[in-house]
Amino acid sequence: MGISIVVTSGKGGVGKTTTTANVSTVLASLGKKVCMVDLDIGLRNLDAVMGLTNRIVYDIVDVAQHRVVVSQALVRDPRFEDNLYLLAASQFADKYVLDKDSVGSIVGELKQRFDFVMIDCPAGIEYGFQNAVSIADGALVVTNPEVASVSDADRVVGILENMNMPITPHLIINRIRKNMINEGTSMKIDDIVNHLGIPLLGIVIDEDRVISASNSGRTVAFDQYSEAGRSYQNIARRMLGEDIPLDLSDHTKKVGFWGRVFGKK
Amino acid sequence: MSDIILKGGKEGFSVIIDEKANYVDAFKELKEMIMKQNVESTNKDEDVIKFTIKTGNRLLNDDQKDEIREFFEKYPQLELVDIESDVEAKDTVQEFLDKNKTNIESGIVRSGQKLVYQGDLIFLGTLHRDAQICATGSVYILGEVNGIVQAGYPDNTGASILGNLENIDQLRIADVIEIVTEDNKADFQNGKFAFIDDLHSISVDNLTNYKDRLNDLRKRTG
Repeated sequence: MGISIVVTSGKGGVGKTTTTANVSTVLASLGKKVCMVDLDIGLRNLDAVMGLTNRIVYDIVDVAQHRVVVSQALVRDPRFEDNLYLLAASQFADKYVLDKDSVGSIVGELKQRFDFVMIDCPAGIEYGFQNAVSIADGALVVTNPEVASVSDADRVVGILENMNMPITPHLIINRIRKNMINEGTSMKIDDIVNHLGIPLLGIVIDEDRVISASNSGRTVAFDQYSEAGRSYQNIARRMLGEDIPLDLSDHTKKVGFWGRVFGKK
Repeated sequence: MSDIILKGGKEGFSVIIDEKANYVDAFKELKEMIMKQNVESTNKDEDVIKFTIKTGNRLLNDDQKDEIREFFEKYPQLELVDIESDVEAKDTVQEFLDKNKTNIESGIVRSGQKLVYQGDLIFLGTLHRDAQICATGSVYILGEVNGIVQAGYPDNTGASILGNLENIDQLRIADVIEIVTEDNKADFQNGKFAFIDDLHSISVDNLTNYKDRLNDLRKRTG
């Protein structure tokens, strides 16, 4: 019996889908059986980020309406042998065709087969969000170091706490700008963690490679030159219980003597 | 004046039912005539006599047709070839027209849109990823397609997808689905066509061979 984890944020555009894709692929590469479920009905993205769009024949709405069984709708990612599957959202139906019961039974069935069921939640805190979080055992709350995003994450953490999930929600701070940390103009990581009051699972810097990787249907986690990719590797390993210290200094640029003399940024 | 007229021809007899006459009376008259005819002809002729019933501008409903067929079945030496009418019901005509129509689509079909066409489709527009076009007949692609193209929707296996298959994500013909991946991408280019082969899977060939293929397929089904 596996566990279901919802990746959520409240605010849109903070990196829920990227986080889902990266964490899932790393877990799969570490030998876990992982199924990604896209619940963003009508605005699905997870398939595009994974480069699996062309393989989708049936989606979660077909399963919920009993046109096919779950195993028929699962899309296997050929790059991860038999470890990684995707259950895509529908691009044609609207979100009200799903309800808590149907999503719950689908995820329940997937939990029998997989170690991790990673649920990509839609932005907002309305109907689609409620469906996604109501059936999850745990949550990854993704936020960016900016006031609007942290404030929305705060609202989401409040809702999640009322649900008494078996696993406490964990925090991922995404899109950290190196240059702003160096200049001291960014929100402080410690302040965000203290403000939200949930355990920090990892931090990921903002990097062009993340975008270029997903544009070509790959995940940045397997880009050996990417710091963000390494951060996602660490996040997945921490989820499996490995003790990997958080080290912010890895991300900040050390300014050498000559840099200081010439004021290079 | 009689409600029915009996005419003889090369193909056998035809019975013309006057379109202005009362149907019940006309049918009665037909029965009487056949019974009379039958009595006279049984002994002389051993060949089966063929009848065609023509109803002119009248359209018989299924019950009336069944009634006539049942009546003729009682006489093994008579064969009812067909019940013909000069007219068709409007919805039958519409269905026929739709089935044989050629649609032209020149717009952009965007993510999340699914367009269904009755008949063939000439696609001049752009099909974005996550969008779908379906036609009950064949689909001729001259524009740019990235999403899902379905011909023979939902169950016409004789349909094909022709033209610019480059960058297409998924081809569907009737109930067969072909996913285009890195491995088979090279097969799907401009100037090709996709069809259902005799193994009931999707095959691709050059457009120059389309005529021959079509003839082969027709032979197989016809």
